[in-house]
Amino acid sequence: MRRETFDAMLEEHRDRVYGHALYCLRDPDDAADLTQEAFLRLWRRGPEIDEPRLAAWLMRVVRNLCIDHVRRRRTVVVHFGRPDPDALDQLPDGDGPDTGPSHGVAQQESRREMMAALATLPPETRSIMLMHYWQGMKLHEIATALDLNLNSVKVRVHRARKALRAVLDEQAAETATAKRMNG
Amino acid sequence: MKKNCATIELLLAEYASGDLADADRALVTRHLAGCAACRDELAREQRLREQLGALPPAVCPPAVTAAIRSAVRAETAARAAGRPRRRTRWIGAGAALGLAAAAVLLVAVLPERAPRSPGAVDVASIDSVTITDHDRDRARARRDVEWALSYTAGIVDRTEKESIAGVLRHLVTAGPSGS
Repeated sequence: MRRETFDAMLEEHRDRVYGHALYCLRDPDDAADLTQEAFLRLWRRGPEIDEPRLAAWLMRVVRNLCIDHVRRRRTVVVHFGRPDPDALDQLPDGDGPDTGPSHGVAQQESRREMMAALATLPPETRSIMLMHYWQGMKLHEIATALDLNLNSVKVRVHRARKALRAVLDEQAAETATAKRMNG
Repeated sequence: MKKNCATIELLLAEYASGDLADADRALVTRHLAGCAACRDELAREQRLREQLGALPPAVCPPAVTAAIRSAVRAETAARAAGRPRRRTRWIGAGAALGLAAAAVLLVAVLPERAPRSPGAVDVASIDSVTITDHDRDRARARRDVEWALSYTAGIVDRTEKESIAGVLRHLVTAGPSGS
């Protein structure tokens, strides 16, 4: 692969790859490391990957890297506790309309709750949810990218949606209880 | 729940995203008209779609892009020179973390798994007397340390791996039994 071609691919896909790793792992350093590994693999594969399949190929690579990483890290978590929730504060700020400080706090809190809920999903499912809902990939594109049956992707999304809603509802109930007790 | 609600629920994600084929879309629309439970499920699907879609876009830091380009240049140069591939990674913090994990794991796990006999030496001093008193527990501890080694090896540069592995192996195997 020519360097110019690789640089163009890097420019086009780096945010998507990095973002997926960041939201999946919730750790900017790990996300940086996995992004580098994914693009090095692309460089090594070179001309075997044509442009139309590139995005799907990269998503599959970063997703597999994330899963491997979570599995390795899980052993550490068992021994040393859960990941630092403050890591969420290192996530990028939104670029949507900002209506003031309270809006920012509410947005950050909402994001924190969603990320905490996502973290309860198995890494494979978490990746699929991010691909569909955050990155806008269609379910059949995800199925192709991950070499999965379309129905299997649908079932995973459906189950993950229920699991996420259960966690979010529980969080909302806890927040409401805390507010009542403080108020 | 109606008999085909389960089937309809599987289609709701694509229904909400507008990706469903016309025939399936019509099927779901007809079902929704007569099923309050699936309408609720669709509302939940749409809320989730809004919440997850509102997560801000991530921007790959320039330092990461620069590191990737640098690694590619290094690989290209290594190939041209006929040297084996060398992976340049973000090993600074990673290596320190890996080493810390291996060392702390060694210290933290052993006391739980190797009950001390009276007069046993404190494991925190990395003295293997306690371990060698319990062969079974020592084998377990060794597996844990081997896991820590492989974890470390995964993030540490190949050339550094050998020396680190050697040091840690020495910590585990050195002791009265010598094995």
